[in-house]
Amino acid sequence: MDGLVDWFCGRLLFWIPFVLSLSVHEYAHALAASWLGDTTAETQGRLTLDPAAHADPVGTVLLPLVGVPFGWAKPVPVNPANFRGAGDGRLGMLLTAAAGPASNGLIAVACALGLGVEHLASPEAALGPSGKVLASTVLMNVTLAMFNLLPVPPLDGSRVVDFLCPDALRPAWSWIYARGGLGIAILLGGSVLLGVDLVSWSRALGQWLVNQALT
Amino acid sequence: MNPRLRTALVWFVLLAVLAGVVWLGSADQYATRTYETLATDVTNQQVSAVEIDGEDLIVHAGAQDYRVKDVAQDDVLSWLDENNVPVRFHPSAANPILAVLLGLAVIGGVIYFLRRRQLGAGGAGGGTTIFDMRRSNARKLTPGVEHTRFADVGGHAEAKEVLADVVDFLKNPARWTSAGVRLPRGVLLEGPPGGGKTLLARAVAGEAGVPVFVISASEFVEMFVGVGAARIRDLFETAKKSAPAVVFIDEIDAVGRRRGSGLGTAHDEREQTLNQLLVCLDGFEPSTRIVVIAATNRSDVLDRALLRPGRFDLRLSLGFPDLEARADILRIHCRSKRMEPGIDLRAIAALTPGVSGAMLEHLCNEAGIRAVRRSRRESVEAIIQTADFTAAVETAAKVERKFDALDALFVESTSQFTQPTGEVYARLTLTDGVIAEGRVLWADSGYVKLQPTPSELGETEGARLIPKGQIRAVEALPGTSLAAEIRPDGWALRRTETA
Ligand SMILES: Nc1ncnc2c1ncn2[C@@H]1O[C@H](COP(=O)(O)OP(=O)(O)OP(=O)(O)O)[C@@H](O)[C@H]1O
Ligand SMILES: [Mg+2]
Repeated sequence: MDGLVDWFCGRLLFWIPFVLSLSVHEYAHALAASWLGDTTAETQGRLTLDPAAHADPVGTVLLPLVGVPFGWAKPVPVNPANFRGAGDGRLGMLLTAAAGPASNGLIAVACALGLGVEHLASPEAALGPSGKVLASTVLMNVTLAMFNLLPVPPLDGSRVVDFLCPDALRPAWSWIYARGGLGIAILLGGSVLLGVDLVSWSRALGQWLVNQALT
Repeated sequence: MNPRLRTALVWFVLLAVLAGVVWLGSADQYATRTYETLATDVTNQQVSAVEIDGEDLIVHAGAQDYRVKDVAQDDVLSWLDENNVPVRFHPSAANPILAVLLGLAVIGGVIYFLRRRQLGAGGAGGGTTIFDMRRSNARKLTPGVEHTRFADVGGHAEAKEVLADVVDFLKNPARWTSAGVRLPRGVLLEGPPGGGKTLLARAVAGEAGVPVFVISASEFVEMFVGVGAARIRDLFETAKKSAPAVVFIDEIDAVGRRRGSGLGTAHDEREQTLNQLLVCLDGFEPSTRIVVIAATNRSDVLDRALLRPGRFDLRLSLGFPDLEARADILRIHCRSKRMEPGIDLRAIAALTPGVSGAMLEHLCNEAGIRAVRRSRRESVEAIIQTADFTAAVETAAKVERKFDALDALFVESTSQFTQPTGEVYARLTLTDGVIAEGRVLWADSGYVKLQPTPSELGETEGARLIPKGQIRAVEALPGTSLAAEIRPDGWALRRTETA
């Protein structure tokens, strides 16, 4: 029974920060969209930090709780046609998309700072469970930001490419873009098959942040 | 609960649990020491044994045992081996099966919680739970509340005549039952949007002075199998209790679609709902004074069982009003407005061929607005003049044109497979700058099928399937039977994005 509780507590140490981070991520999208004039997300009740509004039963609850270090939340709907100002809404879409990863970056930095303060106060404690949670939250958020910035539809990074794409390459890009979920399927499937670690460099970056905080 | 408070509460609980778990973890029976302590102890030969506990090492050294975090790695272990420190595994009581069971229970709980919340958010009042979902939320309008009369409906003379019988049946049933005739208990009103179907149904209730239960069929459509059927049963039971009564089911195509198409639970649910509706329509004796009126603008998709004699056997088609009817409708909607004497509403009606009742109502209101604007400018009384009407008609016509043929194809076809009724030639500018021209064969939620126009040289290409998401702008070309030129906003065609 003891081992069970231990195991479950271990999962919670990952899951709770994960759920909260995803909520902040989705909230950031919704907030950016509403600042820019589109209230689609707001009217659908997504302009909130409430995890229940963003949680996806499989991606937010099932997988991360059983120990898969991977997950997602429900995407926030955005209607670029509602963005204020000139242009065709692509800049607004870029900002809205970027807001999510940016929020994870902020969380990572904030947690790293927290870890640093804890380390100053007591180096021993920073190596204990609380420090471990902070460190894993830093890693998790750096990974979330980096992974979402991969230029593969429907990840946030693809909206950045959509904005930056030169007209000459647009036909090819639209072809990829229109296929949405296929890109991510190939990316994930391919990386698993080839044994490529997609997020190794973001883990390295996160580890660097943690080390920075600990010195 | 206030959503902000709720959010704060959820965060608080989650963070409290996190803190609790962290605190439990810190209350370890072993104190934590750094790797340096271990190194010194090993060199001083103080260490009697080391146990591996996950990533950590538990060190048995002299007076005190302690834990060193995250050092159970190969190099450390071989280094311990070289220093003749015995290494073994820390006995752990982990029971994987129980762990998985507990995990599944928690996950089930969370999913249940989320489901319930979603239902709550979906319900009109926000507080619906799974338990009261079965009640139909038909709004009951009691007699006296419904003020609409036949006189408020312009045109539709035949329909009114037939419905007058229905009203009479509700008021004086004896006359009909003693004659031994069976009156239709289901009336289906069909016709284009804005033709006055809802209005006419309300007029029947108003004339008869009986309670009317109004529900939109889309309210029967739910995610869970059986809920829609339960709501229908509830609706009819309540209606029976307050007979004589009118049950009005608006937009009945939402549940009344032909059965047997498609797969999956959504269809099971709809079929059950439809079956229940059929049963309820059969369910009451001819003497029960309940009349069911249904409205739709897609009678072509309705299940045939709904339309057979004994159910919705009275079908009234409410088309667009003719000249006389249009003048009538204008008169009705101008009753409460101040008009210049001698204004000829019939002449104005002549300006608006093929226009719906709803549009005429809109025109009267527009004309009124123009009159008020003028009265403010010139500080005179707001009296509608003929010029206000002609101006309103012109503006409306401009707007209306934009919504014609292509709109029907591109906007209304968001979920259904739609074929243009007439010839539609369009020029589509795609996101990649390519321009496609040709005759539109059909459109559905995702794609438009275009038969490219043969080039000058006479070579013909095969039809192209174009994803709507790639369309930037649409323009109708000459030859289109309904619209001269349409330039909808390219973005309006884009499906909602996600982030
Ligand atoms: N024949 C009519 N006489 C008077 N007013 C009418 C008539 N037809 C439509 N109107 C006006 O148009 C408005 C909308 O009509 P109504 O709601 O009855 O349309 P509908 O046929 O039910 O359309 P939908 O199929 O979109 O539900 C009415 O409230 C009324 O003001
Ligand atoms: Mg209606």
